[in-house]
Amino acid sequence: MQREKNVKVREVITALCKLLSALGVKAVPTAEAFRRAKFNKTDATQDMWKLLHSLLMKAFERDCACQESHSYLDSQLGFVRSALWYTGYGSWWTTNAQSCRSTNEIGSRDLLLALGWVMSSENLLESLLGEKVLELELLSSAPRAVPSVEDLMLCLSGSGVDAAGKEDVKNMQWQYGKLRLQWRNHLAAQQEQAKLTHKVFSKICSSPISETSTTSVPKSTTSSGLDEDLERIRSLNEVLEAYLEWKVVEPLFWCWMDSVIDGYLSDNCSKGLANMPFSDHSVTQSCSHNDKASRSMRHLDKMLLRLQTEFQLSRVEKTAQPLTSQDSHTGVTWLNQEQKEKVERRVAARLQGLSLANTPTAMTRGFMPYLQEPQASRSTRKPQKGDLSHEMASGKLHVSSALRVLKEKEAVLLWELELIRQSHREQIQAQASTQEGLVLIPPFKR
Amino acid sequence: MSVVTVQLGQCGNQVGPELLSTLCDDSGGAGRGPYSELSRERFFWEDSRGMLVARSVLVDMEPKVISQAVAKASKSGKWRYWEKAHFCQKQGSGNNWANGYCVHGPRHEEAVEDLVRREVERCDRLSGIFAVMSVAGGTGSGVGTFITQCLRDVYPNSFIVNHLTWPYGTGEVIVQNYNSVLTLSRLYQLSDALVVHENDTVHKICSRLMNIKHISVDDINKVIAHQLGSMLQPAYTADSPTHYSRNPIGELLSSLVCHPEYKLLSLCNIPQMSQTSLAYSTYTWPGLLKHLRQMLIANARMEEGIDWKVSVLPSGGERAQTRRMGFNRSLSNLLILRGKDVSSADAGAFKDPALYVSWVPPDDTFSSWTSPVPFNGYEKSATLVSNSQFLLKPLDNIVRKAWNMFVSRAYVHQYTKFGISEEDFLDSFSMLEQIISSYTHL
Repeated sequence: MQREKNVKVREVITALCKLLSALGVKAVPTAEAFRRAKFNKTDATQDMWKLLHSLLMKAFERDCACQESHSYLDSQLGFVRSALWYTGYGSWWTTNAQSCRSTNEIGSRDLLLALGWVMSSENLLESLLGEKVLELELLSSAPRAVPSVEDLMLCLSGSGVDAAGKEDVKNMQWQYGKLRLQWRNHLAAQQEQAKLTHKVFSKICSSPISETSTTSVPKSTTSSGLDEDLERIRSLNEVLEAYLEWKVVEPLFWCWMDSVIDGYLSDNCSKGLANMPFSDHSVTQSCSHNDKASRSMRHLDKMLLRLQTEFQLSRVEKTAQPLTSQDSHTGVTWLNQEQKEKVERRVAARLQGLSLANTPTAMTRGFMPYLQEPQASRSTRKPQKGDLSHEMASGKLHVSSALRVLKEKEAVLLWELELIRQSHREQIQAQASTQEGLVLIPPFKR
Repeated sequence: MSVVTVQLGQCGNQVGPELLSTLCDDSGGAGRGPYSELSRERFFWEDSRGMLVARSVLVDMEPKVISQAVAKASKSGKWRYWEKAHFCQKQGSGNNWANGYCVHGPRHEEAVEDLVRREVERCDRLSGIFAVMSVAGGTGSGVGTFITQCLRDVYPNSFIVNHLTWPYGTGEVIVQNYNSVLTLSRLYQLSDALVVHENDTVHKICSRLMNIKHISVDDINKVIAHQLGSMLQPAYTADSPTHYSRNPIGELLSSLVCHPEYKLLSLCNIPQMSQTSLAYSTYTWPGLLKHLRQMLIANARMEEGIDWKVSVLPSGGERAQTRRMGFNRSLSNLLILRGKDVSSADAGAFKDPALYVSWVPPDDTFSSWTSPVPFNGYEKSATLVSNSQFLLKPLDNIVRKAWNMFVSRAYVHQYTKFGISEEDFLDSFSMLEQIISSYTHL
């Protein structure tokens, strides 16, 4: 029974390894290394380290900005540590730089746990798979460099376009639409070709395509382009098959990971806390409690980012539009006093909004999650407003105060957004009133 | 190279079998060789006994019409529907678009998608999905819209064309204009092209050209099927001048609906007459084309009662004048000629740049397909598929009537209770107003 289970686990991990190597992750170890890492054997450390490092490299290489910011880190350790921070993983060797100066100090099980964390957070495997598919399936991805119709429409709505310009834009849209239709025609033709080729081969071989038959394929077709296509399709198939296989056994892997965590916890208990580095115990135990807080913090963070980008976008638009429209007006008529006041008021309101929105808050610095020991956290009183500066000075910030700061910021930004929305609405109405034949239907008030 | 037809709701399941019968009969004549083969491959597959099986999926919320369609097909002895290709329920949508779109559609999404997928996988090459439905009822319009949306998600790069039957002006269903507005506004974003038949126009064709005294739904559907058939049957095109085109839907779209703002296609056809008078009539290509061209510019949907006073106005002329004169401006036209001596037909009169808006590239405004095989018993037959102002007036009528009802909030609660808010209505109205404005200002 035990043996059967072991075999099963080995298969599960092999499926994972296969998927990882199909996805292009380098230095994937054998299933045996995983097993040894579970028992914290030192000989597995090197393997696990390489895997973790290359997986994180793979995950963050698409994030160019992120890679740049990490390029100054001279060692792998630094990179892995910061990447793990980024994913929200906090273990003794990631949160406390002093406690761990070289990779040798980290146990293979620690690395395995980190690996599990990375894989489970943010659908890493799925996003890697998506990238790989895009890379391999060249034809079926829509042309990217071409602007979408919406972009073209935006051009159209720009203020300075006259009738001739509009016609040009429509002409462009027509041509672009035609190109898209032709592209879809080609895609359909390609699919037909693939299907027919498959039919021919399966007829020739009388059995479904096997290893021997596929090797004869390139010989019969002399075109090197076809060979490349075939090769690409084959590797794409491999990737997808590996992923499917993994998906079937994935739950078992996480069961096994649970047993790794159990082993880790029981080891810690038997050794006693004294031997363990600071706060390690609390990390795993209080994880579930702090998880919620960190999740909501991340959520807020994202919201903040979104608001900021929206705000910046609208700022760009706003600075571009009023200027051009006013330029054209000032040439003809002077603004009267009332309009001037109105504009000034608007500018003042916007300036205030800007300063509020851009005041650096405690959170602009960026913080690293740091977990207090459970007892200590229980004894700390609830942070008051005045504590913020005190906390800031000490370089630490309690989660709840961070949340408060972020919420305040969010309120400011939302207010700012509402302001922008309102002014946009006014602008649209102003523009609409000058357009002949355009009817705007106002929303109903009940 | 095949087309999967999806028959949605009562109307779809009546027009669908009529269309397939027409196609099957037309391709069944002797000595038609590749024409017949291609037509059959396009719309049918052969079962183990050599019987033609339609590449169709039948969807309705009531079993009655589907069983009629299935029975009718098997009775013909020439083709049939696949036993597993239909989906129906016991309870209809009660002519309520919201019920179809928000309740029935999502509930049966998976089952219908499966059916379509099975048909699609049977094709070597999917030329496109041809969804047949009406816009007035509950199932065809509501479920149909939802299904189109699902199909668009599943087949983002395939061609989806919707054939829509527009209701009589003096309607059968009190909320038909609501249903039409909601359907059209959504389909305009999902579908690649909307091929429209108005019941009123087809009814007139039946009464005046076909001399039918008591017009039944079958008669109406026969005319629709005839016109659609002549659009969908194999033909030589610009892309394949020496053999029948293998990509009917793709070529149709790339010659007519390249601009996403203009997707409404209308069909007119000449000659059209009763079977009895067919035997005693002869036509010449110049005569037919002259009539057809005047139908196009004078916005007439049948050859009777054409206003011969309307003449082509130069592009960019006074809009008010254009409207007063009743001149119909086009974006693009596709002329399909079938029958004897097609090579002698001269379609030059359709190439006049003054017929078209100036911003469409001149090469794209007009295309013509031909086939030497006579279609559906007509020795010569010309069909015009037009992306023009043809449908402007009926569309305007629908929107206006729906708006008048909406202003007093008539029946709106029937929709809100299924989750279609007033905002949704307003979005649909503004969308259609935008389309009307686009076509008006050609």
